[in-house]
Amino acid sequence: MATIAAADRTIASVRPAEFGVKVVIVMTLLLIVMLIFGYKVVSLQNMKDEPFWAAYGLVITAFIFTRFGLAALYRPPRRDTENYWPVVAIIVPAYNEPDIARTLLHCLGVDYPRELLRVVVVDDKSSDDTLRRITDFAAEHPNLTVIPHEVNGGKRRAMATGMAAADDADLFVFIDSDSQVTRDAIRVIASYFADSSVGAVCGHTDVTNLSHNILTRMQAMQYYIAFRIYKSAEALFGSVTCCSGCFSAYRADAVRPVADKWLNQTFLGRPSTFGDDRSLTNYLLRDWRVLYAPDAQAYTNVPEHLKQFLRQQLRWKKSWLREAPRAMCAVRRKNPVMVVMFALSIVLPFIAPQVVMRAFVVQPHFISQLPFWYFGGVAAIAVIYGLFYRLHRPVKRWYQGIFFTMFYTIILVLQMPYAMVTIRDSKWGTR
Amino acid sequence: MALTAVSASLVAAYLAAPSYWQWHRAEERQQRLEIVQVDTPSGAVDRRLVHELRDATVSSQSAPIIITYHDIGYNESPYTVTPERFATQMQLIHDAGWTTLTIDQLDGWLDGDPLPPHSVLVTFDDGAKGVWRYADPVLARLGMHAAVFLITGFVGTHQPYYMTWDEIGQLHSSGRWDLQAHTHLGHVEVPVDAAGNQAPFLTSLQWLADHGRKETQQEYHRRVLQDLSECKRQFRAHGLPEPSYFAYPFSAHEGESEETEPLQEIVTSLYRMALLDDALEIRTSSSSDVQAGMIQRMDIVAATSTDLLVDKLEQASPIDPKASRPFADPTGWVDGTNNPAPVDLDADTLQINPDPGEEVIRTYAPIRSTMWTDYTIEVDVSGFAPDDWTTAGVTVLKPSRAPFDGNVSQQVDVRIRGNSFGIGRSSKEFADHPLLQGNSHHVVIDVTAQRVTVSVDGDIPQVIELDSNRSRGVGGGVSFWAYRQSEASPPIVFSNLTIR
Repeated sequence: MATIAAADRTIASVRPAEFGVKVVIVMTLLLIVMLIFGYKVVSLQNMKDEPFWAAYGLVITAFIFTRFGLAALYRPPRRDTENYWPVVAIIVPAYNEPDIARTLLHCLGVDYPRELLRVVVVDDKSSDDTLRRITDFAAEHPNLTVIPHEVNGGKRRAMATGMAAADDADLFVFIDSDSQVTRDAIRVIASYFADSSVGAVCGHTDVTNLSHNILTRMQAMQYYIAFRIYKSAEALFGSVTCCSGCFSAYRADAVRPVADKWLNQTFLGRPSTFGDDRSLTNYLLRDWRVLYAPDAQAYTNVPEHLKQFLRQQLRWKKSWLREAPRAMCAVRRKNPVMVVMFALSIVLPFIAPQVVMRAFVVQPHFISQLPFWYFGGVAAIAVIYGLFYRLHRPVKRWYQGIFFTMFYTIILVLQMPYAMVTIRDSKWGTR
Repeated sequence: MALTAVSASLVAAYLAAPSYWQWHRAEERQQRLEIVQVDTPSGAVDRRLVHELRDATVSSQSAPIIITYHDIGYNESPYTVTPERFATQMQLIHDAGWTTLTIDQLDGWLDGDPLPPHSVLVTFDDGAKGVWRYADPVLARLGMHAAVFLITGFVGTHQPYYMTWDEIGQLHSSGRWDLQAHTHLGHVEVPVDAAGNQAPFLTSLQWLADHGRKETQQEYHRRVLQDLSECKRQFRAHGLPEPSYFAYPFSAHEGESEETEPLQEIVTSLYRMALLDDALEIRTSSSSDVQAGMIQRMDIVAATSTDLLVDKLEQASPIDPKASRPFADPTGWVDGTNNPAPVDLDADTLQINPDPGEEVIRTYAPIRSTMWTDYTIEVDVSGFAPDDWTTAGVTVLKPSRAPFDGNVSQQVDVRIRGNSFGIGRSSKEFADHPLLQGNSHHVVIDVTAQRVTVSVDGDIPQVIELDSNRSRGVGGGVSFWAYRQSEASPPIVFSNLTIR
């Protein structure tokens, strides 16, 4: 049985010096956590004076630590890997993808019985030579099914085309055109479906181009936290709310009944183009268990330029906003802890502008206090995330990831109102 | 496009509304935190002033001495006294052994009880924050009392200028404070004509711009009654005892037109007494004030030095009739219009020598004898010649202020001529009683709050029953007056005066 620790061990180089480093990291983590708890105990006296903010502080601290705790409790289910061999269709929607050949190479190279594997790539009428590069690649790899769209129909339509082309598949595995799966990833992720209540499984994706610059390093850490902590915590209740588009698997029987609805989903009268992953997950979430496979590993490229990154973040914000009510409905019947945690994950970001207002305007004005506690709090969480990341992924310049959380906090707060205003605008905007 | 505008405004509201709320709450909280009570130490207390005040005269027959502060603090207003100055003034009063009165004691006094000697009622008008912030800690430290007159409609507004109900509640529960009325929203000026001229709310007919006219007396009556009743209701609504005293804003109690005449009636119907406020003069309540439902106070403002305060308290301090020796005291005499006037005192005699055909009145220390109600005056009056209409008079229970319109003084005038005497009451006719012709007559007047008994030359006492509507509506000191008929008439000399 593969566990998160086992999955991490395969990546982490276990050198003697590493043990000492880990001890130091764990001690530091404990110290920070103790400091935070100490501060919270002291700040309890604020309860009477500023009940809202005191409560907010407690709730958000509890929320963050609880998520860590829930994540730690998540153990991927024990699986019958000997007798369950579903037909797996890997579907790769592609649009102007320079790395498409590499992606397809990894798809075809997975450790899975050839006769049970379909690899479908759908070119969504790329405006560059993507299709030519696909067909060139296909010429050397006859097992690949290539479907070119006559017109650009968007990612969802490309995914749907792929599903239609693999009508005998038991599982659909969606892989982004810039993401690569590891050799055993398909076998591992498929095994989760041996449990017939599982409707979808989100694989673990790490960042390929993390060493490109500080921006990609930051994103690498954020991906790691998002998967290992956020998705693990949700998976504990079979309620992963977003099976990442990079690498996720769906039970065909679960997807087929909702595929049309998903494909033709609209938001305020306009077709939904982005947020395909979150949306599809939500269609399944109510009736199926949705898990996270820490041991099914993929890699993806993240934006290397700030502008591109911000556009991606905006798109994600919007799809988060659009899907939040649906997700709340879908999650409603899950474990109450999940319901509360999810509700908090919706509500807390909405309060964030006021936290910033308080830290940057109100407090400086009224008590001449610079946003000391705000930065302190954000930094403490960032350091915890960073140390946790370093503990499991001893990559170079890991500490740069710490800045991400602080950066991300600002992006989140600034982008959210903009995302709200432009929520109806469905332009993709990445490329 | 329109949809974007709608969502943009919704998002703007989502950001702005809680921000505003948060800002507002922070502001309130700040005020709550920032404004704490400050116990200001008193400055150096001038021992000379302490002794002066300690030596101030006392009498059980007195009116309350009431001083009026407004705000205590550091703002630039001419009405605001600094906490240091206030602390020093209270320390001085304390060190001189004076006591501060409560509203209960004022009630008792109005019912006829004597006031404690060396006492002062400290009042504050408006209910400014400084009362709670600065004044209360000083009073607490010195064990003093005071009364604050609240503009109930302004409580908690214009933060941090006015006190909040919470702070007022603290004053009330401290037991140091009496809370009284100063209008609900009537402490303002209202437009009185189309040009936009303004005049005090209570004493003016408001200009109704919508109707292009002044309000009618009925509308005026309704407006004023509504405000003053609401003021009382606010006390109840905040769990505080109902006020029984009302301080006129700006001390304005008389309107310019007869339509506003019902004001005093309205006030009297709701409150036991109304308080006035004099910026400069030495004032204690006269019997004619009380008759009209009013009580006098003296302003203490930024310009009032501590010396001046002591001076005011001293000059307002009552003289006891038994201890008084008017003919040995050339100070404190006034003329018929209450202006200081010279007197011709010599060897315990008072000579009044008007020009022929003229009358001269000299009143002894009216303020300090304002509530004399129990005394006997005995005096020889001489200077009468046969067949001469020269007249002398002694007035008792003379109010220190002229009666208000519609009221009559309870004073009793005793008129003496060579061969007769008469007793008059204000406008009432003198009833003549014959006397044996003589150059000199011996007059004995026995005064109580109920009746005055006059006996001249040992003749049958004449009794005048008084009929005041209020127990303190009678009271006052003595006047001496004379009328000379001709050049030949001798001057009038009052001698052998005793008051007991």
